[in-house]
Amino acid sequence: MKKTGWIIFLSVVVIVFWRYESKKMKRLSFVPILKQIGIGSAPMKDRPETTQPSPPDRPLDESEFQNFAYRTLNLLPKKSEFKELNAEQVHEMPDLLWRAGIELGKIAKILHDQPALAHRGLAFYEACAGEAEYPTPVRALCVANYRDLSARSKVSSEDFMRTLPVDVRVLSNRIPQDSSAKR
Amino acid sequence: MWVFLFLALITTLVPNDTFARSIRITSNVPRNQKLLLSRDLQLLKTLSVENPDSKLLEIMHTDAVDSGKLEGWLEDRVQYVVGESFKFNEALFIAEPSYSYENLNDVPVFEKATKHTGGNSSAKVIMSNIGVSAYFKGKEQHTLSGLKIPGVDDVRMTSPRVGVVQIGEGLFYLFEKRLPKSPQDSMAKSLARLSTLFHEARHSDGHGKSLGFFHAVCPEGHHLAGYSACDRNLNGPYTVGALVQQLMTESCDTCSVEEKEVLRLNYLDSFGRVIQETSSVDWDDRPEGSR
Repeated sequence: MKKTGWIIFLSVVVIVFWRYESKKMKRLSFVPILKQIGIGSAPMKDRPETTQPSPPDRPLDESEFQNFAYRTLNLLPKKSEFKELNAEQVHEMPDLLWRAGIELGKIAKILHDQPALAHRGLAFYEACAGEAEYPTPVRALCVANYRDLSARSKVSSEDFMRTLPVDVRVLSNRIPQDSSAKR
Repeated sequence: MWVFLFLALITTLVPNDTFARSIRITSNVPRNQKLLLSRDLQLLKTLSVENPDSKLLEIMHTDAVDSGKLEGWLEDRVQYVVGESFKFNEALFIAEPSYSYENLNDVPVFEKATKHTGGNSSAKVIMSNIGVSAYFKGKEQHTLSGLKIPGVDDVRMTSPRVGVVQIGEGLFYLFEKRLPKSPQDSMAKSLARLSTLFHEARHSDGHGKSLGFFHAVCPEGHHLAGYSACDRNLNGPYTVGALVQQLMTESCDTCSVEEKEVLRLNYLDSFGRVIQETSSVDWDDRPEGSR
């Protein structure tokens, strides 16, 4: 009798747990995987898209990477663009910077997958870090990437670093050095 | 014996996110947002973090940081999460017409922003610490404020540490736009949302002049010059949000190269809003009142 009671109890538990979990999965499947639109919200119509398509899944040749990098540099925001923002838009990281992060992420992925493009990558990061019109966080991220890429490529970065403003260099140190790039 | 089994059976019938966390996501938060935020908070319980910055240890008054410490720190400062439909002015009431506050004559300095509005905007609510606003309103009027929170009834704002945070669709919509390639429930999106929560939680600290850790106007030369979007201290919300984001990002094994790049820019942006001049110091973060 005792054994029967246990079997019944455990069966009930299993059934209840299974039903709950399957309902949870159904709820999740109704939540769309987003490309552009957030949960139940309309897209922000007043903001035109200013990103470029992701690079193709195949390796890029040097010319293709250069073109991609050049377009990225043109897409990065200038300091003057932030003056047009509403106060509420700047309490957290503004969309201008988020889009910059997405574009820089594409570059980082290409260079991660294709180490042979390192010298082109260094040129890109040098251009990005050296541009006074870009906001400091963008420049600092480029500096950190330049630092790590030059270490991996066994290229000295000291001369270039000396040309950069102190605040950019100091901020770039917030990104820990890539352990694979340490000399 | 059978009572124990009965209770065990009952607990299996109740959804997981009702128990355990002391951060209560109230009923007016849309279901999908509640689900995602609940999962974010669940993730916080199990995060594996390494090499926390010494400044974070100092701010959290601890000598080691793990997921438990992070969770505890957050729960000390945030109790209720309300949705975008929560109307602050309608929910605010006077709990006591006369109330004795500490540090009555010691109030925060509000720097006057020179930039308020810009061009086109359809800014959506991301997150806001409305608890400190309610507390401060009461303090200004020498009354004790309260907030009527759906499903919780009347909450007396005896301290900013009562911790009421409002979230909006911006918290989810903008992160979808910002990390579009990631699945909706990706680790990277959770980390981005959590760092915002830690930033807002910091506003629950401080007393007297440091009450609420209110922001400062960004100086000339900064890309956000003129906006009230910087901190004139070394231990405020932007520092906390940045340090937590840095810790979680650099410990993230499942984040892609692209996601990490975006998250890194996020915490660099936060670090970059800490005004680094000789007068910037740590503010006294002891909380005012008691919850």
